[in-house]
Amino acid sequence: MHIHKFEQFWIKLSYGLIAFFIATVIYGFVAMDLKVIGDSGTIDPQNLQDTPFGNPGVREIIKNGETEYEVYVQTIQFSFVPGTAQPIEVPANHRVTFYITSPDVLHGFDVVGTNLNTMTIPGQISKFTTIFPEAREYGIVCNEYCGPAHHVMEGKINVVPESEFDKSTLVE
Amino acid sequence: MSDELSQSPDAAGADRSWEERNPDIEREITIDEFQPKGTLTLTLIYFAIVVLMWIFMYFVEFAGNAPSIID
Ligand SMILES: [Cu+2]
Repeated sequence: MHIHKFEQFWIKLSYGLIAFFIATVIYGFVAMDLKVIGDSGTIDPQNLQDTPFGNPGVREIIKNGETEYEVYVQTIQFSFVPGTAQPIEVPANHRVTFYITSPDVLHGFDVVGTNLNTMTIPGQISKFTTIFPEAREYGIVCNEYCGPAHHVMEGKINVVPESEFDKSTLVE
Repeated sequence: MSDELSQSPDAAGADRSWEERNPDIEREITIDEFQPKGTLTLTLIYFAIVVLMWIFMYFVEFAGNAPSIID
């Protein structure tokens, strides 16, 4: 079959475009070290009280000689615990690892305007680590439809300077 | 637009070929003589827009949107 040379040119460019898209994704995950949420374990959503999720909040840990923070969050119709009733408070410039799960239905945990975004699934633990570079307030929204008041399900993360971080709010 | 072209297909002329309905067009060209440079230019512009939008979306909006997941 004879294909017009303009069409041949265009077909080659189209294949090149696909190769370019795939190459940028590979480059991102190999050279730029981008990360996405992976598998981080399962949990019994009916029995969260005997796990760290039973006492949700911010914990301080020492890891490799550095002070880090762990945040355990339950997403419940229609709030983040903690996050909605009182903001999640963490200091800037420290590693913060979020562990999020849901005792009821599927929710989302999206830190607005950032790449921090995960589903929270009953029976699954969503885990991700980040460092907040500056002291400011971030909004959290649920971005998976979870019921009639889904649209009002929101919370806050308060990133404070290290000197102003109030350790009395930590949980054991 | 000529009368011929503005008529509906089931009016007079539906049983005649496009060439028969356009006797004033005489020159036939081969497929390689047909050079739609305007179309090529437009498709290249579209291509450039898609590439630029992808670069913006991936490297700026996604990868550059700190804080990011680091672990
Ligand atoms: Cu929701």
